Amino acid sequence: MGSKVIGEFKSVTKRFGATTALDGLSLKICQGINGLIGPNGSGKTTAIRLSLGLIKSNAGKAELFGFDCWSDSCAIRRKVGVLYEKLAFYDHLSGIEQLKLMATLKGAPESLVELKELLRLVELDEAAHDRCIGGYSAGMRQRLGLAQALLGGPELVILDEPTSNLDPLNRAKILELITFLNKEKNTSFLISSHILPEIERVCDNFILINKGKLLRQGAIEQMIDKTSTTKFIVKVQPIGSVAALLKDEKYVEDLSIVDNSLHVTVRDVGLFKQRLPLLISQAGASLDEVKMVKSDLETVFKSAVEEA
Amino acid sequence: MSVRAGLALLKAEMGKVWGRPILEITVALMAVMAIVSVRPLTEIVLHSEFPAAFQSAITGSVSSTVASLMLPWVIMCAVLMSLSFARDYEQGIMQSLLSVPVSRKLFFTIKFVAVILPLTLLSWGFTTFFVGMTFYSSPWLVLQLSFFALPVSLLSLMFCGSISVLIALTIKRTIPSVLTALLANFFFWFPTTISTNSPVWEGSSYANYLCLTPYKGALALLDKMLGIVPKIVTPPIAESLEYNLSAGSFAALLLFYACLLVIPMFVYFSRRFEICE
Repeated sequence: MGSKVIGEFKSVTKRFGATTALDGLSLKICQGINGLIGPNGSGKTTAIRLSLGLIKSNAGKAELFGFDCWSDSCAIRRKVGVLYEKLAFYDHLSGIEQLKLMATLKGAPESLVELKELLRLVELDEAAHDRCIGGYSAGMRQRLGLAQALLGGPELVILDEPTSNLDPLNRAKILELITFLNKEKNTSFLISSHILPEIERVCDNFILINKGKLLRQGAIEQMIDKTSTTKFIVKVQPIGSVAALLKDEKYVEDLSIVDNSLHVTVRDVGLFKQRLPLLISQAGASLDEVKMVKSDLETVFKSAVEEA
Repeated sequence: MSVRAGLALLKAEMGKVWGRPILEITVALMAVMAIVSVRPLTEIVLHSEFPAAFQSAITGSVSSTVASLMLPWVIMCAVLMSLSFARDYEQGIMQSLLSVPVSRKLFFTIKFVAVILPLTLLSWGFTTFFVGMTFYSSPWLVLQLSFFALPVSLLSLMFCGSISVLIALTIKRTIPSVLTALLANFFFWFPTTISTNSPVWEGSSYANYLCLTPYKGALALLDKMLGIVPKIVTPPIAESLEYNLSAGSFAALLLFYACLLVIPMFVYFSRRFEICE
């Protein structure tokens, strides 16, 4: 996490009646592409709303670009573009009219050519520009929302499930666009999504939260290092006797036989490496291959959430 | 926030609130109520007795006509105002708009004005036109009415609108908010259908206070400003609040009702209201 920090939550707590949505959450939003991940109801959307001054924290301090998220929210909103999961527009307006209105409200009136260029960038069909938004498909609304978020060249774009309504082809294009804007225009992103492989592909900083608390933060490598379980694929002959012995080992988290191979998830890699040869010889088996499965974001996510 | 941005938002809001067929329904409702409530003054009198007969005929007649015209705009104001706030909250438009640098104060004002302004103009126009049709023989009365009906409509609508905003921001669900706002406003409108003269005459104590309710108070204010007095002014009526309170008192009362909820709602929305739909 070497890049510049543009936003920070310090022990932020947010309660809705008896429900605690954020429970002393501390996190850092860095320059670059940040991925905000967590199970359903973990507090991702609450954190986004809080950062834009739509809700007020009960305790703690939330800042973006050095401004307080509640009292200076207008200053923050000048620098931030946002696409919510729940897309809402003035349905009686056309796509171009909606963008024109939002550009005026953002204080960044852009010419018709610039607005059309923005719509072209998100690949919204030209024929749809002058059609009422009420008649748009879910995908078209999603792309219009993205264009709206990019209006006025924001320093940070917050995207809540940006690809949820898109087909695989358009998903890839949107992810390419995010990478392009980050590299060419130095736009930072905070992307909240459940499609982890996509997030993993584009993000360089990950924020994993659960039950309103931070579980992990950093680059994928840093997160994997902190992951307490590691998966191995072990090919041995005969498989049954080794499996029976491994089952009783305390550091083994999970064990299954898939395609004549043992899939072993362990908590202590060192101990496993030390004990495996002994167990194989004890079972009178022969070892063909041991392979460590490279952890991905999904593995980190599952392991961290289960651990919590 | 520039004036240009405010006007652009107002235009978009009015387009949404008054989009087809809302404006048409409102005009039709007002026209129907006006047509069924306006009655010609049919009394043949000697020319010398005309002023007294006219005064006697208009007593209660202006109030009842305006009260009937009040019903459609109270209904439309309750529906549109609660729809405007609750639906925008529920559908996420409020969240989207307050995520750009629009101040909450401006947002609230624009949403309020987008409903109130066209309704005020419509109710003022209909009241003046249809009451004027009845009392065309007294152009001075019609002129006075057209002058006084505008602030009275505006203040009454502010009260109606502010109750609806309170309900919408409390319930935060479209259909329950609309129904509750309708019921609440109908509750306050209902006293306008009660002629307080007879109950006061019969010694009913509650009737004396009905003129202090918002819409009944607005009608009493209109009557006072137009110089319309009850036909019979004997002790029970002569001692009643409606007869004794001045136009200024009713104006202050109406102003109080208009601001009673608008100001707290404005402050609450600007400073404390949270958008978490």
